[in-house]
Amino acid sequence: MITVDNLTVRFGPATAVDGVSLHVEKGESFGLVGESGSGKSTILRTAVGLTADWTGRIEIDGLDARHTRPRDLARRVQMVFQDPYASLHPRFVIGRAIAEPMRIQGMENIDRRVGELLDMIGLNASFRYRYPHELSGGQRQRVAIARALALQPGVLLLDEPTSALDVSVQAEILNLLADLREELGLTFLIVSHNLAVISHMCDRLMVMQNAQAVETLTRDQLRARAFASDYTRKLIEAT
Amino acid sequence: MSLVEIENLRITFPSDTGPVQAVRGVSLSLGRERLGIVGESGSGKSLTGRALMGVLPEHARLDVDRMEFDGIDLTRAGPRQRRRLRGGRMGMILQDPKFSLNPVMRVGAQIVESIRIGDRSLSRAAARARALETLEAVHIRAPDRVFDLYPHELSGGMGQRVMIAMMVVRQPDLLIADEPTSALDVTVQEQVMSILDDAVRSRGMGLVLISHDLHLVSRFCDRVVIMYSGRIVETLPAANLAGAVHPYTRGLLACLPDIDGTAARLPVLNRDPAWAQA
Repeated sequence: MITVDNLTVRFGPATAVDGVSLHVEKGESFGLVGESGSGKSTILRTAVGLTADWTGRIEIDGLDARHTRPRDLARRVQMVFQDPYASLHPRFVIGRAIAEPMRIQGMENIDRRVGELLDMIGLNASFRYRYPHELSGGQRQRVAIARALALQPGVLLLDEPTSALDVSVQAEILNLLADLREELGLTFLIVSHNLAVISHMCDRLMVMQNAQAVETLTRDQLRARAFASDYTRKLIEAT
Repeated sequence: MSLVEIENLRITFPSDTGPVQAVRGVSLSLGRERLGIVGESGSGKSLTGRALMGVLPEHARLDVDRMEFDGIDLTRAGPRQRRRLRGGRMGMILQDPKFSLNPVMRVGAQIVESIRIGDRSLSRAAARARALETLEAVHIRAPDRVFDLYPHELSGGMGQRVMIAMMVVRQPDLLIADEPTSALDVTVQEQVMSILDDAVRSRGMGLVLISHDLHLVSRFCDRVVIMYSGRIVETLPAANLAGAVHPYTRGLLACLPDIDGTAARLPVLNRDPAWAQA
């Protein structure tokens, strides 16, 4: 479903991602962990066309990310960002924020679909006419998830989806994401600095450090502490 | 004798629909120990720290029956005395060094400034030497080089260590650290906390650690106070979080994912309106 092959991303003289490869099966949930600056978010951003200077190959749901129109790519893959305060347009009511991707794609029955999406993420219909500032952080993240699901993509890229939330809200959002994945058969690529979140959510994970892949583990290997690198051990100890 | 005594602290904000009480009758006592205050956003934990420090937002109204720092009645202390205490005997570290350091001043100069405000008799050279020592004490490699850097040239972890250096260089008796490591990577968190820990152990400083992270707080504190909706719902020895009896505390502990957890779904918190009353 997702193939990243020898990806290198540069920001001017700095190399943010250095020859990283990974493969995620359809329906799988794959995690990227590592400290800030390790390049994990940059991989996600590159996959949806948010960085310019990169080499290597990214394929999502059969589409080559480099040669596919953003509009077409958007129907297959969507991103949920860390900060629900920054990722929603402050002057769009919730209904409009969720409708926006469908409007851009010229879809029909948008109104009915917005209702369904709100229902799916567990917010009642009255939220449609509220502004982001009237919502809590957890509610906003639900809206961001609804917006990401509006075009019925097969892949969600989740960049620290719960790091800005209180732990009780984090649990609700993680449960929601797990339910949605099962219901809709989604494929997840999740970035987090929190190994516990990744272990809870992901079948496999890749540990990153200094722009490079350190190692890839299955959840069982992680839990059996069957890792090879010293850095992974440090991460586990610190969690 | 205790370092801090707070009795029945209330903090109120005006709003369109009448006054809103954000802190509702908090009482605390702190010795030369490490006290953690844990709660979710809006629980009043940061406001409690700010009230003690004397840096509440202007429109906040503070009522308290008793608030003392080392025998000094803070309710009667004037602005000048509060100012002298701040940065001297009381220090505060905030979450994000990006917003707490002066962006147009080299970090060395900022540390020197905080030293010289406290001790004007110190020569420039002596203050510089002290600043370098302090940078070294917070585990900054090549303090000479870092001394001449601007805040934007520092990583988050280095910035936070510089903040700590600025605070501990005055050797405060009390340090209030409000989410000091939330902006940092887990591996850096440990280093920053151990620096604070050193200060407590070596000088008998009192530390108030405010955080949403129950596990972090329990690892580094002696006692943990759990706040919910402007009140303290439970106080526990940090070593005995498992012994929590309040359903809110138990709920918070239960809803954390665990590396070795097996549950497909995380338990969620069902908020009982009674928690806010109790």
